[in-house]
Amino acid sequence: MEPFIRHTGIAAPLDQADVNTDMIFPQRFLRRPRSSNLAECCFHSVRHRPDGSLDPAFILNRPPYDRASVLVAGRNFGSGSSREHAPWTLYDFGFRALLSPLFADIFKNNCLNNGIVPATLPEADIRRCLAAASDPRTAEFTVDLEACEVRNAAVGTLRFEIADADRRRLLQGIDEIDETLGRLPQIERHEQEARASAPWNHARSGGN
Amino acid sequence: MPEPRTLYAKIWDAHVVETLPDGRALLAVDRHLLHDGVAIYAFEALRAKGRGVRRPDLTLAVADHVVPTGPRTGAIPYEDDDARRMVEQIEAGTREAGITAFSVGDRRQGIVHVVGPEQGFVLPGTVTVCGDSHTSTHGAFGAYAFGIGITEVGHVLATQTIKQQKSKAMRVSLRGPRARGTTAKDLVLALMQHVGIAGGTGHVVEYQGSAVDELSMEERMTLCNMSIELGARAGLVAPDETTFAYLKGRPMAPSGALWDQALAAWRELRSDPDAVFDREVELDATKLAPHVTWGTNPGQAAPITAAVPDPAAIADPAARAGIARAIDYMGLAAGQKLSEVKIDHVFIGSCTNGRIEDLRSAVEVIRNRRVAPGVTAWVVPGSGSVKAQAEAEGLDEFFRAAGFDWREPGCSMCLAMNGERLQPGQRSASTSNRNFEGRQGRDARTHLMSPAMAAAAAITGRLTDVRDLL
Repeated sequence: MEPFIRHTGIAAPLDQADVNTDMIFPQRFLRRPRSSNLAECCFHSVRHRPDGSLDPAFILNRPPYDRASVLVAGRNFGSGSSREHAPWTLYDFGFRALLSPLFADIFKNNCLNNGIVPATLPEADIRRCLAAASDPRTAEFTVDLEACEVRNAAVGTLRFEIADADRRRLLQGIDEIDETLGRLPQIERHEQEARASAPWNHARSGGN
Repeated sequence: MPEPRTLYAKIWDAHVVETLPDGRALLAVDRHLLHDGVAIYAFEALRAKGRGVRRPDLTLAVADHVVPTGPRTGAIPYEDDDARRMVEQIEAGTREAGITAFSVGDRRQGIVHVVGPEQGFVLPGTVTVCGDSHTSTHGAFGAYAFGIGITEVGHVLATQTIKQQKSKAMRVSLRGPRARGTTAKDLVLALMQHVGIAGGTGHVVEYQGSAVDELSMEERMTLCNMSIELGARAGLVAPDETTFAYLKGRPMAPSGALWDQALAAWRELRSDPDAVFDREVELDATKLAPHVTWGTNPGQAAPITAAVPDPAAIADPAARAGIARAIDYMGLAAGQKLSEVKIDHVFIGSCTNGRIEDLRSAVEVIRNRRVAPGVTAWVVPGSGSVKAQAEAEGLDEFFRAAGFDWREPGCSMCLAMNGERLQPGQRSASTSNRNFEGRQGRDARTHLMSPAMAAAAAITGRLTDVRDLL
């Protein structure tokens, strides 16, 4: 995973609460391999008209937002299904940072595992970011993970929140599995203790 | 005196391998469920890095997400080659790793959250994970059970652990006995309406109270299943005699001396009386009416006796816009009575309501009645075992006689990724868990409800108060 330090790009305003992962990545594409470019699936049902053409009314279809890399979103972004295809498609579309007053738990984790910054800001600050992003002349945002700051010509400098553990993971871009495999002795020791204290969890019967 | 702890904290503490320098905990995972929707990606990622599966004995795999639920007499008519590959790859990957798998053709195949419990695979006090948000279902057993992403599935396969930040604790107290004609689904829809779909975000919910105590295991699974729709990481019910009676004798549950030993430990699994929760919510279930959803998220629910809300009456502009958008998508009118909404399709099934008790409660309603003209009604049993049990009880005969399509097990039209979906504009009475835009097919409209309520809708052809048919 690529480390994330800071990023500057066009921010798209999506002023809607409770955007779920079904909307971000509709289920009809869930069988696609990760190796394919999933950008076209991004918000597919709301991005397209029933005849398949791009709907110019949807923000990501309008310049400069068609090359947005920051998304300013409403509350409870990424709720619902755990599909990791949601951050995959956002990444393939070009998004590197998301700003919202609240992210759903599983989605947030999936973003962290794909190098996307989920930055939490107070509702009032998000309102200001939405307003700034809505004007193409002030739509450029910098998301600085080192300083935990969002910077923009219209709104100035805003602090954002991210758990320290999450911030470190993104800054270092470390492979979580490799890191954990380095802790195998501790895992095995814990497992030995669990075998003694709760042996039924380690001796399942049945199956085949 | 040790500090009083919640059930969640007790399970958490017992599973901390170590606290990491970044503040997270490395948690041991006791039970991992794997399904065809994620296995292909996870195995591919492991293979790319040359990693193996550390504890194949602690994973149970099923094919459910992409499996068609029509007759399985000939070749399986997968939606496309990608779907076929997903089933082939969960079969190949589990065979190679030595993981027990119930794929198409195995009589135990079915929805991951139905099969896990009915096999006795999920046990009280365990940390149980699966690459599916409805893993919260297993909290019904007093397991700390939560959904994870595909990268995390790879992490669990490779290490049998997961890294996590501890959530806050929330207690939902449900006062019973619950009103006649209502089910666990009505409880949870009412709760959802009460606290909203982000009301549990950042929390692990424990359900307590007399309305919870009286629930069967199937009902507790329905309740915990929908915890994710509150945004909660997990839902929990402390195990009791109901739990133990359900588990005893299941194929993968402990037996003999090990059972006795486990039982003694499980009896200690409950929150201390003076444990402190970060958030408390109470709900009176004694006066509840059957609920249905009218909107495009599970929190947009109302008693069947109510009407579609009027956005103009909502003061907050964001909330008003959300409600207006939902009503527009659903093709409803403000003030329209819910009991006058006509439906095209009925779906009884899913990890929320595809278990034997759900099918029995639907039969209570449809027995000696006919599905309304113009309505297509499906029953998709949650597993092969549920299907066999229902057939042994003759439930399938009642469904067929009423005009229902009696199908093979799978996720089917709950998320419509197996090729089974509604047409644009079609309206469904569904026992599943999500009424999101496009969930059951592009531009399709979903009303969530209990199996009894869905059965009632099938008979009348409109959303119906099941109490009128009982």
